[in-house]
Amino acid sequence: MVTQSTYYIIVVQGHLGTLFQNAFAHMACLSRPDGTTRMTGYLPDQAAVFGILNTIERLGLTLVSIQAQEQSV
Amino acid sequence: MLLSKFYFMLPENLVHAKIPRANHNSKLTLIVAPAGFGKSTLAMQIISEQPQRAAWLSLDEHDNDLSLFVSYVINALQQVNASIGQDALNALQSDDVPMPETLATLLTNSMVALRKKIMLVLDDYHLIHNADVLSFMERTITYATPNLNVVITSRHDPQMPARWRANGWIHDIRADDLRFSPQMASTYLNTHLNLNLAASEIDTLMQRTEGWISGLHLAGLALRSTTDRSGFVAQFGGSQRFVIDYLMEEVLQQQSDDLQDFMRQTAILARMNADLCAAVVNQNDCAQLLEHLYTQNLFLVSLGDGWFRYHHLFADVLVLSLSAEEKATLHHRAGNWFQDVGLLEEAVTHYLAANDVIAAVNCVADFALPAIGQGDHLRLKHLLSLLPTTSQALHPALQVAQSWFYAHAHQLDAAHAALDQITTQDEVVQAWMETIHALIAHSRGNMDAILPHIATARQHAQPPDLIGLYDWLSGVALWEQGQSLQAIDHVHAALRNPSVYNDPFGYSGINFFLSDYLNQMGRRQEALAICERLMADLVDADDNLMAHAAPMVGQAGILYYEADNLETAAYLLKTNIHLSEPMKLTQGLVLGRLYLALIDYARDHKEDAYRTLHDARHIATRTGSSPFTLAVDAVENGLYLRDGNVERVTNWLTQLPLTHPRLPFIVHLTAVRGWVYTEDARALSAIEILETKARQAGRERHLISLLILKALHYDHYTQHEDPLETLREAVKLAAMGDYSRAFLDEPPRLLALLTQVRDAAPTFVDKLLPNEAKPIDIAQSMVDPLTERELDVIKLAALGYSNREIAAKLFVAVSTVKTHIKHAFSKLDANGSRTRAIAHARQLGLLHDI
Repeated sequence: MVTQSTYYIIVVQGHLGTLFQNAFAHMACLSRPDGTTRMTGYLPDQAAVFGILNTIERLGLTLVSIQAQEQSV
Repeated sequence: MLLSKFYFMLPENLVHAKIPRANHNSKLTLIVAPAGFGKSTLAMQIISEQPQRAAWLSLDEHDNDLSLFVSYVINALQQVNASIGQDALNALQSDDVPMPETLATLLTNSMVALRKKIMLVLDDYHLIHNADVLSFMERTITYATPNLNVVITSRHDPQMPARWRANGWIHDIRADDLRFSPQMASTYLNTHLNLNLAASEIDTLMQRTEGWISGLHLAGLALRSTTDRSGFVAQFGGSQRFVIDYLMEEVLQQQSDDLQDFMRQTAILARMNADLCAAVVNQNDCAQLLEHLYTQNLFLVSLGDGWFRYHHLFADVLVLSLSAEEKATLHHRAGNWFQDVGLLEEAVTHYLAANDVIAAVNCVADFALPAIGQGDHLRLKHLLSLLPTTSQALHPALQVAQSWFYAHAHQLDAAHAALDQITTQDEVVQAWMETIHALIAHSRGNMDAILPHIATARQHAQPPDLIGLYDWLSGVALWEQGQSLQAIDHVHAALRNPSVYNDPFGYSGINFFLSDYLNQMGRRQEALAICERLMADLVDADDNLMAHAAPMVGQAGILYYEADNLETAAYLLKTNIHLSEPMKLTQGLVLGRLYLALIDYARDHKEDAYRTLHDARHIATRTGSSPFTLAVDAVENGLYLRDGNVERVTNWLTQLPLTHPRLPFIVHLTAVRGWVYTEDARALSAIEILETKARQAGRERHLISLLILKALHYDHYTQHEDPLETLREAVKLAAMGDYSRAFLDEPPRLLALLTQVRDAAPTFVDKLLPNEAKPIDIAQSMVDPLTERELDVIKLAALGYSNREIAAKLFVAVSTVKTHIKHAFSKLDANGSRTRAIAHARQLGLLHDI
């Protein structure tokens, strides 16, 4: 169970312009040379995580990976 | 919930060649793919061969409500065939929302007889997460007959039992099946859009979009207004930007600033027409703008009747550029517009999206009380469910509504507690509060409290929605007080109030009470006329009786039973049970069986009668309804008495809760009958108390039975009173309404007495007697008649003499008396019991002269 604020790394297919980055306002977006976007940030709870996944689904983005990390990162 | 008719994007002749074909036993076509893959378009294609056989539902977040979802599904199916699902729709109107399984059964039952295939399309099923709705659909698909085919479009796999796939029930269509082939892309871009792209350019677009329809569509739109198409394709091909992100920017930049603003601002709307857009964007040329977007294929879907919506994916992208403040302002304007036109669900949703809870609460509060009065319970419950859970305390009307729903669900303490929390000066709200207090009193059997509450309510206010309730509750209270005629006047007045027609169970229920009241007053024909009128009205398109007709059908059965029309009665009572079964209507299930048992007994099928009563007790006990359980016991003990099984009845009589506040009349009557037959001293005084009440209240049906028992009592035990005068009055009262069974369900001795009062109503009495004008031969009514000596012995035993005393009186040996008694016991089927032998002999009328 993840109960505290946790650091997440979410990777989606394609680079995102400012408009699409707005949709993930709480995450830092980094375009990577392999044609993916890496979004990183602290998410308070599972509801926030599923909120992001829902946005990814709504916007038709392709989810590549999602990873939760220890806070020391 | 919208019934979409048209989809843009995919031209008609562009048919997916790759779509796998359904096999024969598939029940569910499942189209699962991410946003913008043309799922809905494909669903349209699937139903396009026979669109008139398809019911289409576009789902949204609001549909996560069982009642609402089921009513939408059925309304859509009824567009195809009006006979579908009426019972399930009616079930939704009852006080307790039925179980999803029950609704699914009712729905699928109504489709069994369908000859033609019907398709049900549930578009955007991924928006459904309510467990009841999901389980309703699971059951519906499981039970579906081959003539129902469900088509579901969803962005992710819905939950479903694994065996569905194993059984071959699912026809799967997934993202890869929906991707455009290079051939289709070429046809679309070059033939339909006339873009004249080279094969290599088409290849680039295919690679970049991976055959994703929304991507190709956007590319087509962007290329349409671009002069350097090759350059555009090359640049797009070289970009790593997300396809939609890149192309939306291109397409939007090609539009005027005004149009771009219009698109972004209206993208907050789940659906829109020109009028709504004008209110939201403060512009007047909205009709032209919508028309332009639609003809230019700019993301609009037509819903018919001037309504449009954006394609979901593009709406979600368009709103990204709005700030939170902009969104709140736009949602608020939309809320105002929807509230003004009475589309409250959408008004509430927009107010809440604007974070204006107060506006949302006021919007529902204005609607709440009229909605209750007009029986619009489903919609109100749904509106309340949209509001945040704590918001009821924000408005007294919402608290009243909550209390009302508790009272209807028989959660009386909760209803009371909700009322206690309300502080208001509003006269109408206070009138409602008093009315709910009256309802609670009614449910608690506290009948004396009803009229004072109604009187106070009337002083507060007399809104049209409440008048019908005032009348109805007053009618019930007056009836309980024995004011029969006034009670019936009030019930009639309640029925004249148009609001009762909106609630099928309320309407049927009030008519049931009216019919029951009239019957208790001895007006059987009038009571029956009400049943027959209602039964003619309460039918579906196929002339089948609907579930809420059940009480009326049962009541008609009882009324036919009274007139000794056993065949018709049995038919109606069985129909009543059948109609009551799906929704487990206790009244129909128990009452129907009680009278079926009496019919069995009348036809001499005694074992069946007891078995039926056993079932009835089981149902009554299961629902914890003590008046029903008491009624079952009473009927059963009535049969024991007729059997001569006096010990059991004596036992029952000692345990009877005679002080129970709502003891059914049948219990009183059976108790009195028991006392009469067991020579209990209480018999006559009990009869006289009940008789006085019945006379004062004009309950002639009760009076008939009481007078018959009184006559039997006089006949058995007293020399001073003439049973015939009493019986004559009973006959006169009964003849008018043809209450035959009141006499036929008594011992044969009564028939012998009846021959002597034939003059009171000759036709009626002749009908009751097995052989007209001929007194029945009592001795012949036994298979093996008693000898004269045996009869003498039994008579003396009935007078309380011991064997030794009988021997002395008859001048015979005690052993001889014992022999006579033994024979008599055996002929009287007394099983060695002296009491039983006497009871049987009395029942046969053998003891009438002692």
